[in-house]
Amino acid sequence: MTFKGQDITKLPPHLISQLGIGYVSESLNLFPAMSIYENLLVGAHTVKDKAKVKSQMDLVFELFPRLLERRDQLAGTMSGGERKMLAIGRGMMPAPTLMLVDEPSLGLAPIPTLATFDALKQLSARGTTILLVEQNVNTTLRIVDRAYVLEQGAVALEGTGEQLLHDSHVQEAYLGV
Amino acid sequence: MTAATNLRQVPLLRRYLTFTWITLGLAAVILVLSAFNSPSLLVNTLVSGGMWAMMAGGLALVFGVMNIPNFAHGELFMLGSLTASLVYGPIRELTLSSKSDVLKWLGPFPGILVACAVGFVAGIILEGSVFRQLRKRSRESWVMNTFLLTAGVSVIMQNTDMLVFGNFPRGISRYWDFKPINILGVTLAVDRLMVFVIAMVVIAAFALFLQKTRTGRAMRAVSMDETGAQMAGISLNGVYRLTLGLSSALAALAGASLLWLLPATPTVGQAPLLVAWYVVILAGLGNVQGAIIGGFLVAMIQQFTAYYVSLDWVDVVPTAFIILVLLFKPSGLFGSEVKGVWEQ
Repeated sequence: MTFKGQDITKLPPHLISQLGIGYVSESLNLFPAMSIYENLLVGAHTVKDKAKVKSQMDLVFELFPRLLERRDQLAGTMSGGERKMLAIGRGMMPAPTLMLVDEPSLGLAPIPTLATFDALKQLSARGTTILLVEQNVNTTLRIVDRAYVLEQGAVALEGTGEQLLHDSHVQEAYLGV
Repeated sequence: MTAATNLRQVPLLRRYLTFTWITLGLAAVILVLSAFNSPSLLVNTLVSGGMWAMMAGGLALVFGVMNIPNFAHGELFMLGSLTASLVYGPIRELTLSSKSDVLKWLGPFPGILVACAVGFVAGIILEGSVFRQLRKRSRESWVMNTFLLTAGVSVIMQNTDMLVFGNFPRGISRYWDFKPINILGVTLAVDRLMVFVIAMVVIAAFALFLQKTRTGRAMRAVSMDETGAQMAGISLNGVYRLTLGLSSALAALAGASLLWLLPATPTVGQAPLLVAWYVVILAGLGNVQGAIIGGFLVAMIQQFTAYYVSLDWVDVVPTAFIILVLLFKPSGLFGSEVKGVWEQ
């Protein structure tokens, strides 16, 4: 497996993240006894430049004003949607070139799900490549640029989100139309 | 995970009317009242409490960050007191013969500082040669395996010390050769005062480090979620090395500072190790903040027992107290569902 021409298969996890790959896991892996502010600071662990940490944090707060409201609240006491926002925000802190996001809609009610997708869309519009894994087909296909359908470990279909949304196989198997 | 409550919205009264705060409040009241009766109780509590807080803080840090119940912590105390006695011995001759007060003040510090450094290095070696090797092979029943490993390391270190340096106490009567100072009607040996000052400075620095610095934050992050820490680009091995180094340096510092009270022998670390475990179990495993407060609480119970009952009971009463606390709050005084070395 290579990233920007470098083999990363055997790299330890912390070095992979230092190469500019951000990862937002399914279970979020937040630090529950730390405040939102501290969670974000830990996210910027590899960033030495204080001004850059500040500007990234401003960006996170701009994208998720809710996090700014609760800046000093402990991560462990937040709702599911807020936690998801914080996880994405923490992933944004080192300004990664590629961000892997694992099932952001998992366990979320419809409205927070839409808000999360909206934030991801804005993030990608600002130039971060996002690789999203989702089973929420309907919403996902409406926001993505390109989509791949995996069936039993192999790519079964690929195309733009719009194309797949109108594909008869996708409609039948995943959208129940 | 606890329900989504904002801590700041809980009414002040209810926040502090908990079992933990009632216990602490009672302890504080008793301590202050007894100080009128016998000021030495207060002084002794603060002096030995500082030391126990340093020992237990290191023990809690290693358990909190690495999940290791370190039964070799007492041997790092022993290493500190041995190093200090070896370094201070020759220096003592010099400072005693000199008339300069400045030299007499500074004399003990090289020994204490070298002991601290030796402890730090020993911790890093311990992590690299023992725990890292186990981690590479298997993380199954990690707590049990590391407990057995540290118990083994403890035996090896005690016997190596006995083999190389012999089984006789290397003590000193005092570090600072000055007249006792009189504070609020209590005559206080300079050594006691200095040990208290050292403990306070080190504990404050340690707390600030954990709370405010980038590395301290990384340590707390690892204690709460290792995967999350790695995702943020934190090197687990780096944090582990530093954790064990710091904890060992604290134990060695305690050993060196108490050389005038506990002469260096191969088994000198056993009693402090036990006390540190009392404290850590009382406070809640892996909570450094709790361990620091708990250190003073256990010291207070010991001093009161020694003063009002008898010196033979100083191990019995704290243990009974811990059993009582665990009956009402099984996770310890400061225990919580959220794992982390420093609660907010």
